[in-house]
Amino acid sequence: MSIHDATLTSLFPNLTQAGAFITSMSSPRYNCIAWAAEDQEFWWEPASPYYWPSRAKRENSLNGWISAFQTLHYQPCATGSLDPAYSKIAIYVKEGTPTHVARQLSNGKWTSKCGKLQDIEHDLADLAGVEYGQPFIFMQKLRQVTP
Amino acid sequence: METAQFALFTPNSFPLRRSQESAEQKFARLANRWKEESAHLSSVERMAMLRSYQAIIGMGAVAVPLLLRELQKEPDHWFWALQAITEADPANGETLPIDELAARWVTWGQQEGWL
Repeated sequence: MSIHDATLTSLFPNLTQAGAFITSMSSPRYNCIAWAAEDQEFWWEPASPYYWPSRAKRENSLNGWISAFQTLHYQPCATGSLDPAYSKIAIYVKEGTPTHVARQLSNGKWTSKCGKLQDIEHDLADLAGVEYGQPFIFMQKLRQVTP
Repeated sequence: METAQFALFTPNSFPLRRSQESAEQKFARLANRWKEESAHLSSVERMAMLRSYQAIIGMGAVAVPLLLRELQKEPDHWFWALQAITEADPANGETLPIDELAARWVTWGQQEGWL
């Protein structure tokens, strides 16, 4: 299924019908940070009454978001290039403020929860632009190997 | 000719003036605008700073039952608006999924006579 959703394509003009896919229904129950952390139960926000990792900086800043993923054993890395040994995330930043996080899939594509809208599978550049800014910070953690 | 031109612009041909809106109409207009403008945002902080959300808070107590009915229809991030207006916290500082947050607020609203 390619993206024909008018809301998504008007917000993110780089989304191409051929390359990006919707992979869920819309939901206000979890956001991009939660989805990147593989959590669909909570909305992640560094303020009550929302969930935020207890050991992370409780601030809605780039440092706050980085520290949230550091509690999940992610560390900053240089690029978003695919490395089978690592799981990666990309934090989008606009005017110094974090706006969005995407998580890399094993096929090299990325998966994102667009706010309260749907999950989508996409390339990084597909969500770059006026709304989310640019992918600016990459983080990685060793991929768990299931025996 | 001037009379005919004037007749094209009688007050009844304009959209309802904002000052003539009922509270329910105003809330519905603002809530719909907020839902559109906030749909792609992943930060409740940014959602709450949108003018439409601030205007709903500005409606004060009259917005409380309307917000609670929104939560009954579908959970959404109205919690900070309700807290700002009522100073209540049915979550009691707990971290909860938003379905449960919504349920707590609705129960609170029923107990306090807002619903």
